[in-house]
Amino acid sequence: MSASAEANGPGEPLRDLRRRLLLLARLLPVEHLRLLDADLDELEAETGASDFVLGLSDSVDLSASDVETALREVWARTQAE
Amino acid sequence: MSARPPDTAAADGLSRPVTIVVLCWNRWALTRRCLDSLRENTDLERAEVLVVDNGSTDETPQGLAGYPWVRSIRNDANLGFVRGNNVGIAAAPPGADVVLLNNDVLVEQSDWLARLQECALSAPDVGVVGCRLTMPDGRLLHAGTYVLPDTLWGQQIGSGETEVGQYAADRTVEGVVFACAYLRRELLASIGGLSEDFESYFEDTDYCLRARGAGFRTVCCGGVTLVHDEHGSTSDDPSFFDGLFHRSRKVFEKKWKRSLEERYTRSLSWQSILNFPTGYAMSSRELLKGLDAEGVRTAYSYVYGPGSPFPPLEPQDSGDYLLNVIAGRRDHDGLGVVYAQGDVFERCRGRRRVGYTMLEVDGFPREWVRQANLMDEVWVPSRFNREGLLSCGVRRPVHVLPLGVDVDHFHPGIRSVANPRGDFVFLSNFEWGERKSPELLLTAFNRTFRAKDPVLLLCKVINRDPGIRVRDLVSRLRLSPSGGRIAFLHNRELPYHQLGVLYRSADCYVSAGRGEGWDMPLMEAMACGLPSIATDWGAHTEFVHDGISWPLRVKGTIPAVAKCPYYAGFSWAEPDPDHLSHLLRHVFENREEAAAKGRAAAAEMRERWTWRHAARRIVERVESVLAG
Repeated sequence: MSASAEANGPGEPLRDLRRRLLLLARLLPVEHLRLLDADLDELEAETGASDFVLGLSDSVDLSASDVETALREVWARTQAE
Repeated sequence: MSARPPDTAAADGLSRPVTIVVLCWNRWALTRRCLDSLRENTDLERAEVLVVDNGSTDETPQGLAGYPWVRSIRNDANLGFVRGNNVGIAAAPPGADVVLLNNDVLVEQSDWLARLQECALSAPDVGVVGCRLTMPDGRLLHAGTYVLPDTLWGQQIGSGETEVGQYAADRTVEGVVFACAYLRRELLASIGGLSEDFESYFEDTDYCLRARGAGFRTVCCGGVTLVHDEHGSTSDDPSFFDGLFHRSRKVFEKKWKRSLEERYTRSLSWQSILNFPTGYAMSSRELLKGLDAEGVRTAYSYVYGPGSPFPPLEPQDSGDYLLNVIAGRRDHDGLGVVYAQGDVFERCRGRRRVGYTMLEVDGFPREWVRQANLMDEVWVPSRFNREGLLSCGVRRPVHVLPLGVDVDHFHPGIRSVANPRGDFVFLSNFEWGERKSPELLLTAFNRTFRAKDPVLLLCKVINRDPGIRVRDLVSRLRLSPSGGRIAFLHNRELPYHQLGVLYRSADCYVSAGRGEGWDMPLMEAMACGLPSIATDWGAHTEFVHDGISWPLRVKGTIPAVAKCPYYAGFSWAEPDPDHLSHLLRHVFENREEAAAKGRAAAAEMRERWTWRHAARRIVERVESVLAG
């Protein structure tokens, strides 16, 4: 992956939004600014984490599968990232 | 029509001449296909093919006329499988070994005969050599046979399993099916051909048992795989088959039941768990198989159930013939072994009572200790657990009896599924929970590598606890999108016999948990030839050392805080995340060193830590208990 591609990763639109919001929010009291900043931090972390939770579910049921089939699914998923 | 019998073996090939006997009765299309595959994949300068036509009435005689390289003998009538093959054996040159080959077998491996002979001549006591057989759909059909005195119903080892390269080593077995059987001349000289007590069925097991009686072993050659498209010549007529089969079974019973029973020289009552997806159950299954192979007649009963800490009733079917038979045997009151958590030891039945257990922390709950002190003796798999028991007040003798690994299904020759990106894959296989410290592994990996690095962490994760939401927990780790990439195989129930494929599809195994009672996945990965990184604390230090793995430093021990009530008041390790990061990077950058460690690990697992080794250690202990 090139440096420019990495710079355009999944978190980039959010970082743009943060820059614009913080610019607009200069008129807000400082404590409001801090709260907004913290909210954006949280949102950014969750957005970034979405890449990592692919393949995870909230179900506690097991699904039967061939090892080869399961691996091919994972490889396809990681190739698509 | 007759071809020249081989009188000498080719100088550069087989060291002995071989006669391949193909018996047929009608079904020319099958015979033709078999002969064509033989012609394609056998150096016929080194061997002759002898077709014994059991009085076919179809186009077989005319068909054979078109195969001048085949020697043929025609019987006037259908003599049956046994006598028909004996005609072929008798017609082989006196110095030749003989291969019996069914006409519904397909040969697709060009070195099959040389490998069978190499196996046959590998030791003077090898008499019969069979091979792996697969079904036409690719599944495994046969990797040897066994028959139990309880049922006298022969079983094919590995039948129905997906082909992944299992049973690749040459293994001494009780029997092989004679769809393909290499019979060494010394054995033929000693016991002759097939017993004509049988017309068809059981003659192969009978022959292997007779061979054993004469001092010869039967070996399943793991390096040869043929396709057996089972079309027995009796399969068209079920009533004829039934009659033939049951007649042969009665003859077999009369000849062999007693001697099969006498192979069991010891017995014990095994009280444990088999048919639930737990570590105890999985290892219990393998220990029972190992003990049976070592001549221990076990009777199994479920130790949990209503009134115990694990109340569910156990499903009846284990999915394994041998285990089902063992579970159906009547218990006895001699030596009883409870292989389970220590709070069910007092359920142990037997005049002599043994409790066999393990735990992942540095001590044992008071109730386990109380019940351990009711036993004649206690077994644990590791010195780590022995120290824990003794430090908590167990006064009975505590013996270390390590567990093992299945090297037939976990070895470096198991098939892999390569990832198309060519990533170096770190693999970890665990149930989500505090003990496995998944947050440590995920964050260490994520910060050690960059997303652009050709490296991936694959976590096979199980979570059955509705109170745990793995997605949320992973999200909260705030892993960096530009850090090392991680993928999950979540809550997949994978067939155990295929798990080796998972390990073989990775490049390094990581076990970075806080404590282990044994760590079977680590052992399986090592048996598959994977280099590994494993926390240097816990029961698995019994088999892990820096010659075959990278021990992960611990910063010390910390209170074992977890949902599991058995851990309360005890400690486990705190693995060093910086050292984990260093080791991950080191393995990634030193592939040759890693591969060498993996090879050494596989060799050590094979040489010291199989289930047979584990069973032998138990047998030694059983003898001491019974003697004492």
